[in-house]
This record gives sequence, structure tokens and C-alpha cells, in this order.
Amino acid sequence: MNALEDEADFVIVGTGAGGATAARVLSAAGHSVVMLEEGARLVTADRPRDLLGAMAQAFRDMGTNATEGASPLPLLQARCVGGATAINSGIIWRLPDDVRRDWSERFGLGELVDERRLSEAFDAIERELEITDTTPALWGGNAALMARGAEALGLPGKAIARNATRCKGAAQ
Amino acid sequence: MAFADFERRWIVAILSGFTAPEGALPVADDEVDYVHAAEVMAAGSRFKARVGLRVAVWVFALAPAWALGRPQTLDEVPAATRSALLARLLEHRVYGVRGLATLLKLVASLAMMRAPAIRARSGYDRAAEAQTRASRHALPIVGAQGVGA
Ligand SMILES: Cc1cc2nc3c(=O)[nH]c(=O)nc-3n(C[C@H](O)[C@H](O)[C@H](O)COP(=O)(O)OP(=O)(O)OC[C@H]3O[C@@H](n4cnc5c(N)ncnc54)[C@H](O)[C@@H]3O)c2cc1C
Repeated sequence: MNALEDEADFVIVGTGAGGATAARVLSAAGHSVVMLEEGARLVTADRPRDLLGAMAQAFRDMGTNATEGASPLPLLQARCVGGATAINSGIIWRLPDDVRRDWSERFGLGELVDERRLSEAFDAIERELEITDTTPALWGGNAALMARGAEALGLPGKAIARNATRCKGAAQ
Repeated sequence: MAFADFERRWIVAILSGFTAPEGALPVADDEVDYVHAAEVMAAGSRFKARVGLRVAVWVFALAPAWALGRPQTLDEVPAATRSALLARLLEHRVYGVRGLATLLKLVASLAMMRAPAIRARSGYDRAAEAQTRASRHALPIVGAQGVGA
């Protein structure tokens, strides 16, 4: 193993949503940051197009981890630069208001989940990540069928909002 | 983890059995490399999951005996019986059996979606575009080594 010498105000282990956000906030506040990542940097052009190969490249333990306990639940995790944000579906939901209120009351989070401040934060995130509704051109057969079904039954429904503005739907 | 020859036969019998013969996506036996998918899955998994996969193969290979009372392994029963049995096991009342069935079905799906002919028939692929554009927010990498490098 090669020793690497560097110096920074903060060292962040992991480059996923949590680590990247922490790095961003710290560097915006003027601190120097080094991020450590166990997994590879994924280059889109080199990504295998089949899921088996893609998972072998970017998923921790082929996605076979599970929670502990009597009824284990699958626990998918990435191992690559960007963490699971590099492989996730890019679906972005605002925190539903009933959940926000529940967190506020049950866990005493009060101001931390203040409606107005959260709403401003969500506005900023949606603007920066260019969140938009998925266009029909990118829907797969399942989504198209769901939309047709919802329309036929008169059920409400809408396309999922994602942070994938330039996504071409090429499964890459 | 290397599978023995008889386990490889079982793997093919189990994983191919998830494709209902009358299903919308007909799959010929020689189109899909089920054993390769199981091997890749096992090789990339942690010890516990590797053991789980092998246990799943054994439990399901012996399913005709414990679920149907027939002294046969899954590769010895007709294809239609195999598929019907696997469909039942996917909804088994015991969580562990359902879980193992789902794991095996997942491996079967991964194997199927590697086969170019099946991908073409399923309409899964859209035109791939060479994408070499660097990330808009590329960070400087000061060092990289080992597996992740
Ligand atoms: C397949 C999938 C689809 C998803 N889809 C969505 C979605 O559509 N919308 C949504 O909001 N969320 C989605 N998620 C969830 C979301 O991506 C995660 O909740 C989020 O990325 C978690 O961020 P994190 O920083 O906590 O961890 P991670 O993103 O997992 O990042 C942790 C990083 O730390 C690295 N690491 C761990 N240990 C070490 C170590 N010792 N040394 C160096 N590096 C280390 C890991 O390799 C990894 O890169 C999805 C997740 C998965 C797996």
C-alpha cells in the first residue's frame, strides 16, 4: 500500500450523499477537505450495460447485504465514487408534511424541521439538481402501462420527479 | 465458489424454471448462461450470502421431495411442474423459503438480461450513445490505488 501524504482541515470518509454534502458545506465555509472513497470512479462509457456486470462493478457485495434480525430485508449499497447517488434512480421526493410533523412532535426536532426553512431548502435542492418530472420519452413499458391504467380508472397519478435532466434513458 | 457439476445442473433447472413456459417472454434453454450469473453473484457476495445462495440451490433442487413428496430433484421433473412449483415457493408461507426463492429469481433475471437475444426481444435497450463527457463537477483525485482505483 502506498502512503499518501496530504493535509486538510477535514477528512471525509465516503463520497455518498452524506459525505458529499458535508464536503460541500465545509468547503463553502472555507475549509479544505479531503474525501476518501473505497470504491472506483465510474466512467459512464465503461459501464457494463447488463445489470449483472454493472452490479459487480458498483454494488457492495453484489447487493446481497441484508439487515440483521429474524426477517432480514435486502440492504442495497454502492461502493464507488458518489456512493449510491452514482447508481440510484435519481428519484427526489419532498418530505411529506405528515412525516415532517411526526418527526417534529415525536422526536422533538422542532425548528430543525421547520416547514418554511425546509421548503426553502427543498427549493434550493430542486433548483441545483435540476429536478424535473420524467418525460414520457424516457418511460419504460411499465410506466406507460401504469399511466394508461390510471387514466382508464380515473386515478390520480404523475410522472416521478428525478434529478436526471440529461438522462437519455440508455440504461447507462 | 465453484459449483459441482450436479449443482450446475440444478442451477440451470431452478433458474430456467422461473420463466413460465407460456410466458410473454419465451426463453430457449441455451440462450441464457444461468451458471455464469450464479457464479458472478457468489464471487461478489460476502461469505454469508454465498452460503445462502448455495443453501438456496440445495433447498430448491430438493423441493420436489419436500414440497410434492416426489423422490426426485428439480432437474428430474417436467418443465411445467418445475415452473408451477417455483411459483408456489415464491409465495410460500415461510418467510425464509420466500426469501430464498426471490434471491434465485433475481439471479435468473440477471442472467436473462445478459442475453442479447432476450434484451432485443424485450425491447429493454434504447440506442446507446457514447458518453465520454466528463462530469460537470469533477473533483481532483489526489491518489488512487487497489481495487477501487
Ligand atoms: C439501487 C439504489 C437506488 C436508490 N434510489 C434512490 C432514489 O431514486 N432516490 C433517493 O432519494 N434515494 C435513492 N437511493 C438511496 C440513496 O442513494 C442513499 O440513501 C444515499 O446515497 C445514502 O448516502 P450515504 O452518504 O449515507 O451513503 P452512500 O451513498 O452509500 O455512500 C457511502 C460511501 O462510502 C464509501 N465507504 C464506506 N466505507 C468506507 C471506508 N471505510 N473507506 C472509504 N470509503 C468508504 C462507500 O464505498 C460509499 O461510496 C437508492 C439507493 C440504491 C442503492
